[in-house]
Amino acid sequence: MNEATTKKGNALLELWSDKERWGKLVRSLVPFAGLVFIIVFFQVTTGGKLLTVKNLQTILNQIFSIILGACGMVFVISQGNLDFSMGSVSAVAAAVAAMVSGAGVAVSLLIALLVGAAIGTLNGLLHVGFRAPANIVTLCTQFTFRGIVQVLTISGLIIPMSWNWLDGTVVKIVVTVLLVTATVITFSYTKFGKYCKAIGSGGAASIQSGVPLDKMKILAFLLSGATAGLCGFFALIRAGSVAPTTGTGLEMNVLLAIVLGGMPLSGGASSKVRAVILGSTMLAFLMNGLVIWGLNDLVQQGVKGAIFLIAVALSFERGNIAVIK
Amino acid sequence: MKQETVLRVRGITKSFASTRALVDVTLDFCSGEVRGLIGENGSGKSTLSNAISGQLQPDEGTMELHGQPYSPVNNVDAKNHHVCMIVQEMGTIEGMTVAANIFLGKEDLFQNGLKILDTRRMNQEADRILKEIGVDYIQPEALVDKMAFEDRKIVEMARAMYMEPEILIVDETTTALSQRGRDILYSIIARLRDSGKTVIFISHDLDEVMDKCNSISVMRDGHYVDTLAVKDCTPSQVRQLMVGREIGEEYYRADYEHEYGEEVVLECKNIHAGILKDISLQLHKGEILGLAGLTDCGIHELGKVLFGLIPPASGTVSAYRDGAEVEIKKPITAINSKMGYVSKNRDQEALMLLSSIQDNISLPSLDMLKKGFLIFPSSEKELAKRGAEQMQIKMRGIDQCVMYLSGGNKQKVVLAKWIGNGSEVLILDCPTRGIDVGVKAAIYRLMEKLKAEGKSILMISEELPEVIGMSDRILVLKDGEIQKEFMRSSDVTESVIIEYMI
Repeated sequence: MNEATTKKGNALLELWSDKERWGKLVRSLVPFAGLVFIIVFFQVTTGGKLLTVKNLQTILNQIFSIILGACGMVFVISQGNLDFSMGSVSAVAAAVAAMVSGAGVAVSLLIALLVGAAIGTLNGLLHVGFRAPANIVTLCTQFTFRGIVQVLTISGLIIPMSWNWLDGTVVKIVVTVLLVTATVITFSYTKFGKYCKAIGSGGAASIQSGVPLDKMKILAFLLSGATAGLCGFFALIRAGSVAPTTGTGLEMNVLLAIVLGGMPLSGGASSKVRAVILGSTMLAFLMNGLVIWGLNDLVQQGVKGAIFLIAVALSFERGNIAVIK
Repeated sequence: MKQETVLRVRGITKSFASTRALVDVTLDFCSGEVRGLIGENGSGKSTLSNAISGQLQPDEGTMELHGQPYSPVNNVDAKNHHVCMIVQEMGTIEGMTVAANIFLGKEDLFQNGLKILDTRRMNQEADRILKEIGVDYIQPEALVDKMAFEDRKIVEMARAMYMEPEILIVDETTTALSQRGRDILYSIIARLRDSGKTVIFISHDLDEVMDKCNSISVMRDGHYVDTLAVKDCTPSQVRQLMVGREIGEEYYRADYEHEYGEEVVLECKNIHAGILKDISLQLHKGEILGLAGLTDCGIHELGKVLFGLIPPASGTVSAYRDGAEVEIKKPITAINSKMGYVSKNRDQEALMLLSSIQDNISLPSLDMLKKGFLIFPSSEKELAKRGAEQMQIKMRGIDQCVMYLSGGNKQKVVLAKWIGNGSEVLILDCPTRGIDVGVKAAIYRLMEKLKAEGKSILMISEELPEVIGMSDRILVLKDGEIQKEFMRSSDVTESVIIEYMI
């Protein structure tokens, strides 16, 4: 009798573990299915206007701006934090980069990165130093730096026409591949990346395992800021000038992309760097499809908001509630 | 007093997903008895008590209370039948006063004519109930927020007593209580027993169960095994029933030698931090040093200070490795000096619950695994697998999430983390808290093995039998000060130590 029950128990256990494994597999496939669905859906509903060479180039541009930011933000999110200041930071970086454009394109790029990194570090220091929630801190700095952009752009900032070559497809592909590769390596194969996930999984446990929590948090914001600076630089290249509205909405696009890619906003164990690529691509196709449909800007925002909500609800780790609370 | 059957449980079965937590459980509870309910983790004792207290509904089976069918739909329903439970976790609500917590859901009793709550009368009544259970130091109008865990538990006890329970279930409550809290609980239990009520007492501490109960019901793997009268059985008999096999006599250390090296591996000098006053101690190579005391006497804080988690107001902590002195100010310095720390709060502080076993084990060892600046998953997996095998963690795979492991297995993961890191000095804060007998014995064997390898262990514990059973030397703390040092010998008994604790 006893042996029989044990056997039965074991069989059940195996069945369960299989079920769990299947569940995991299905969940990890959802974003891929989503991408295919979006492409097919819009290809059909736009009467084939989505997948044309010219439109794909537009989509590439959209992917580009989202994916750069997502590469930095993914570290912040894996720690269970959010960076709402990305758009404003990119605008400040673009403005300063334009101001120093006389010194050449390399200096300008470097300055954009440094300005972004500096502001990111500031975000991190404020979060760690005042023990204030990161989303509140970055929400505040978002407004502060948007104000500063307004002041900086009063005189009108432009860059030399000769920098136009940087807006080319090849440059963008090269930059994307380099940055994504660096992100994948940092995220999955370095101590920093693993520490980020550990922090998102449990703050106290990571401290007790020797993770320098504060340092890691500041570093993540630094990276997020630096990629925002990079976004700003390329926005500057594309537009040729900086406006008070440069980069608005960047952070929401990046957040939406990462969530669509299948990463929970609570970060932690199920953080995946894959979400960056998948999500950015998905979102770019989606936004482009909506434009081809001829929806006006504000309606598009509404659609994005609804999708965001659904994606968050789907990716939210219910098991996490007990841990967060 | 004549004993009669109060509660009949007939064929209760309960499954969670594909786990069968209770299988066809049938037993009776009598009036005027204290019934111990014991079993290893996952044996179904909590599920059974949750079914009785209405927190969950069984899939099959029936219950009878005083001969009437009894199937509580929730815990309020159970309370209306005078079936109450004191739980392991926090059961009071913050932001409310002691009195408000005691009369939660019963506020109607204190309304005046205008339907306004008469707080003064409620406080008076709360004060009366607290005094009745022998507590005079808790103010009814105080907020529970700032109260110690133990005092909050006492508030819960007062709440349960106010319900005038016919059946009181006490679920693993005493693990978190000091002697004072336990004494209050024991007196409540005795009073209920003497007035013909029934107490179901769930605890991991077999000695405590044998001491306080009239009879013991043993559960194993969701099945009811047997009920024994305490006067007719021995602890080893009960253990055997719990585990279903012979564990052997060697539960604690068999020797009475206090043997350890001369070399000091960890030392603190004149530590002042919070409640701790002028603490100096030395841990030697190959030594198991026990730290004993009441919950709030500072033993747990001292462990954190020694690992660099709490910066002391004054004083220094130093680790010695190969003759070199390193001052410990942060956990990372401690880890680099080959120290490891096992927290008392396993789920909150020692583990990343949603992460895999592998991620948990390898976290402190990432520095060791680095090749250049890269860490390859294969080397991480290897380290984790080695640790898991050494600790004999029961798992489906190294990538299994830690959250759903049993308490004992979770603790093995925490220990594997430090074994994998090659720790030479381990600070273990209540290493066997809430863990079943089988794993407990495994942890004691591990401690002996580590000692034999020349590693040093500081064991902080509120369970005196294990402190006495395992330590080479025992330091007793009271109110943040070291009271007494005992060397290992057969003369050291619980009562001798308790004198210095209280």
